[in-house]
Amino acid sequence: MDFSIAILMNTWLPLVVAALVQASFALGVSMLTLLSGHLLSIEKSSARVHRLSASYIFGFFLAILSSVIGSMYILSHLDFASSDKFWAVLAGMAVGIGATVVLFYYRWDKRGTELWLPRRAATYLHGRTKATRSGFEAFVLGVGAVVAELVFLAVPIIIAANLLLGLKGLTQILSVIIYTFITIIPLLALFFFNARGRRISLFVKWREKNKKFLQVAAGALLIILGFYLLTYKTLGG
Amino acid sequence: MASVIGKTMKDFDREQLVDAVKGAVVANRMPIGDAENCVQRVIEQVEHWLSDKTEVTSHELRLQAAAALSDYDADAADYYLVEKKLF
Repeated sequence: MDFSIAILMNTWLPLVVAALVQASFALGVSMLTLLSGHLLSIEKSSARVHRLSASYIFGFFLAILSSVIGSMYILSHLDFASSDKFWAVLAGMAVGIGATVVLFYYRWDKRGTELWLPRRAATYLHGRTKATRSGFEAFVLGVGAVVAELVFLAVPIIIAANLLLGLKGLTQILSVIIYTFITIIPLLALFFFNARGRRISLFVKWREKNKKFLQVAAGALLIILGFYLLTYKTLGG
Repeated sequence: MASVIGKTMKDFDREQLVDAVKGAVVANRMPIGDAENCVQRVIEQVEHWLSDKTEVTSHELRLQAAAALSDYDADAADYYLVEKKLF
């Protein structure tokens, strides 16, 4: 594997930032929190709770992996994918989506905070999550969490895919897996938190307390990533 | 009996509140026997609060139940309040 400074700055750094941005989006974790909380509340055995949570995480992982590989496949057939202009477009989209995340990712009202999702969609997802009983349903829910948030996830995924196209062979395969793994770190953290028998409210409280920070951090990172890509990929950093 | 105003107006549903509070308590790993006792006390407190009211909003009811629950399990009360707002 080649770990030269140029590759580190040109590929790995923006790749890790894109993965961290994706990891800080909340819907996937919220759905897993609700799923595990609900399963615990209906007195399912711990093994069953863990199995369904693992199915959910696997669905989420596979959906991200498929999105990245699918994007790589499409981009590899586009002549302009590695051009300065395309990178400039991606950088602009990153800045735009980053600003949208900072401004609109959560809605604040007197009763508390809600995700940006349309209320009908949120109610539907809430109901579906609570109704989940089988591993397959949990798997589909994991895929659904990615699809529902694609409006925010698409830009980091396309950026990652385009960065990954610059790598070759085993390095590329490992990088795709590492990228996807970073995006599911919060889900794995919640999984192990539950597996160790900790109270779910502690995790929820931590997230509630840091909601605003995570929102601003995700948005700001995306904006910084945009400017970084603009500098390195189009102005020749 | 008090009416609860949410998306629609309906009579106070004791069982619905029992399920919701018990869910939050058990999800936070309180043993089932303790959870049932705790829920019983919370519901009594909420019903006492409701006794002189004709209408309350579902949000007020939720806050009241959370306040009663926090006397027994503050973490579960926080979870109960936040659970509907997870997304």
